Amino acid sequence: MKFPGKILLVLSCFLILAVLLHSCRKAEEWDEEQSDERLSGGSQTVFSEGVGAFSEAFPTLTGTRLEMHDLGDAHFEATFVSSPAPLFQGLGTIFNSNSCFNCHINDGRGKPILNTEPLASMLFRVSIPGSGVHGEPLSAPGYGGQLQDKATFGYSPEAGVTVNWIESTAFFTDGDSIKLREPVWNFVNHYTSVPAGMMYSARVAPPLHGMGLLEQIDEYKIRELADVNDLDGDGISGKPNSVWDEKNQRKMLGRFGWKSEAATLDQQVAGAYNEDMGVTSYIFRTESSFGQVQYDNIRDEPEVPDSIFNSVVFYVKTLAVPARRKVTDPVVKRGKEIFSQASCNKCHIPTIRTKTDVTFPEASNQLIHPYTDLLLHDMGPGLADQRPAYEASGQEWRTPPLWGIGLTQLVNGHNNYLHDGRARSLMEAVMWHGGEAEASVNFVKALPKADRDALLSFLRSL
Amino acid sequence: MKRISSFILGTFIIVATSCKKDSETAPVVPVLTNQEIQTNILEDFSRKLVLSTYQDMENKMNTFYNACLDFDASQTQSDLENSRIAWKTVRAVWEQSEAFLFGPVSTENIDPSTDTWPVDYNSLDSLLNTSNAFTQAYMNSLGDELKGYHPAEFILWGATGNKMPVDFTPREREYLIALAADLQIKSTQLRASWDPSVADNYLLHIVNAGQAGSIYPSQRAVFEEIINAMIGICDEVANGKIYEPFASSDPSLEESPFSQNSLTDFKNNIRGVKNVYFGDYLVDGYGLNEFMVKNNLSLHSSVSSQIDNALNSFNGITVPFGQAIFSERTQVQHVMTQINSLKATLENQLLPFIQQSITE
Repeated sequence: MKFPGKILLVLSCFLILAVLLHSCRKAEEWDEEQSDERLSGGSQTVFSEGVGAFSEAFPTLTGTRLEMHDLGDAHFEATFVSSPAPLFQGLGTIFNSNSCFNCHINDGRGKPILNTEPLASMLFRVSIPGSGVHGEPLSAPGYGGQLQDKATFGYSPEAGVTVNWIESTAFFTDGDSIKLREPVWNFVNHYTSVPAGMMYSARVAPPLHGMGLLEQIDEYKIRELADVNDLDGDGISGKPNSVWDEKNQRKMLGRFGWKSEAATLDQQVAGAYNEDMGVTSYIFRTESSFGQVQYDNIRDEPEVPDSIFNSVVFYVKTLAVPARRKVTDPVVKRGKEIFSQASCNKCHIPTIRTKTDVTFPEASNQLIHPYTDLLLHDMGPGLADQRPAYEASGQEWRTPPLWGIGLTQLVNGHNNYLHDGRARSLMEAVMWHGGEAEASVNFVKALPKADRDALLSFLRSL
Repeated sequence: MKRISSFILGTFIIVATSCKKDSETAPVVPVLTNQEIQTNILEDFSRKLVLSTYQDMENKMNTFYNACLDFDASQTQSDLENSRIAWKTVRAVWEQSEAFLFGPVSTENIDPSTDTWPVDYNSLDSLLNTSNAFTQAYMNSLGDELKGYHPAEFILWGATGNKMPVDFTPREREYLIALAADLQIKSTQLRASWDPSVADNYLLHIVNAGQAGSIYPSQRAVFEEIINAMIGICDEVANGKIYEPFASSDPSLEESPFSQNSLTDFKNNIRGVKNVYFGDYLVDGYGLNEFMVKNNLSLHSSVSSQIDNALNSFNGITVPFGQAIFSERTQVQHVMTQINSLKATLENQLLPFIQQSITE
């Protein structure tokens, strides 16, 4: 059989077109939202739902790297004592806690005091109006950047703290209500005169799991999420903080702390040794009490050896993330939908990929579900501490990661959330959101009870 | 013929009965289902083991407190010895309780304020040199580093372990009593935190696991918690409390050096693991062993023999721990090896087996 030339020509054209069309097709993009949702920490996820859920090492750590994690673990739990001493010397003279572990109990979340008892797992940042050469909050004369409420024997704590709680009620559209409480902090027994305008900001100890993964998110990805002037008009801005890093001696993108005041875990851990425990390291070689009458004049810096300090940083960097539970439960799935409909996911970004880093293979190129953008957002006057820090205003807070939040009760025996731990339940925490999150809260308020419960089921599954 | 037919009939009845399933008869010894055993284990773990241990600790702490009062009154060698024995007696219970270091003991900061180590000598000296009255309110104002078992141990035995009644200053005796009183409060708090008659107790979270009101989403989660705690204390003893002084040959890293009680402390930690596995403390209860005998006898045999091996391994050490890390290193190494073997079995075999077997 012989095809006429015309038909052959048409057929050839079709064939060429088909080939061309096929070759133009890109490989379908993998929708990262479709990945296994349980793996909150990518391959550094652990299936643990007990008291130790935040305390497990990256599961792929082996050999000397695991040994380094374990060494850091032991020193994270070490109790410091006053100098001179044969072991763990260097506590104080003024401090908030004598061990990392006593604030970060089970590597988890701290809680506020109820009344007049000593602060156990929270502290207060202080400063006076203005900012320093790097934009940092101005150190308060006589007090520095943090209020140390404890002192080694023979020295005075900078001040004591008590609290009164003011109760109020918030209403949902369907008439249901929820009790909210707000702290009124009282500062007593100052050891010296208080400088004019000294500002206080309450902070509970944040949970530590997954911090090493957050440190590995590429800076450009975080900046990409920012929308400082709300150009897309969705009412949500998102601002990167720019903070001084002592080790790198330059300003960097802030990632850690309630206002993103630390760029690196080196800085965060060294700051905690220095300010929280009065222990000097190679990064902060000067006692927090230096220049105050409380300074001990013992020249023993750095009080924590470099290798031990590095192991503790490595320990924090390599704490795994607990897996989500009940991801296929229909109520939880419904809650996840509501989380998006309420636009919670615009700041609590569910999914992000860490950068490729051959020097830190365990955290390299991991698809993680932290539920944060690491950016600053205006949370309204209700939550404001009115104490600016670098780029963060007195009303702005960093979006805290939500991974693992559903395990708080098991790990820490309480359900206190937000920077000062005022919320006594997840819904109370939701209701305190204001500012950029005002519309989201109004959305939640208008939900029927079943949907509100579904939202909570979703949060508890994280 | 009659006898033969009776015999046949009897045989038939026996055969027929033996063919019947257990569930249809009323067995003399009921065969429990796994679900029933799980529930019994959690019930006995919380009541007969944890609560009994904390109750016993509270009682023995009271004895310790009274012994300190007696010593203060008499200042005799025999009353000093009684105080030391009472310290060691209650210490034994505490160390056994470290095999289940979760719940309020951890989340309510009871562990750090009871068992803080090392002793802050400078602060303790300074404190004793003041004339402050050691009221409970004053004790509450002091940091954890000045409270608990170890400052009490240091005062009772002194740095060299051979302190005589005459060596005690009145301030030391006074502070010893205040420390014992503070420990009493902590042990009462601990017992109450698991006491089902007290509101908001932890016991109910365990026995009601998987039900509304419990923080545990399932019974399996509690079993994981329990086994992880057993693994945790094995790790702490072998790779922390023993390994660190051993590896650096540094007796200053020893946990209870003044009383030379470290080896007893370690052994009691492992006894605690045994208590949990068998569910026994003072009285017999359901333990993990009941589940394992029914479901995996060979793994049960491994676990139970490795617990005994770990406990017996201490018998090889004939001198106090602070000396053994120099003079009996092989024997100390043997203890670490045995405890690590037990830990590996708990971690790599028992935990996965329980995770697979307990589905709710």
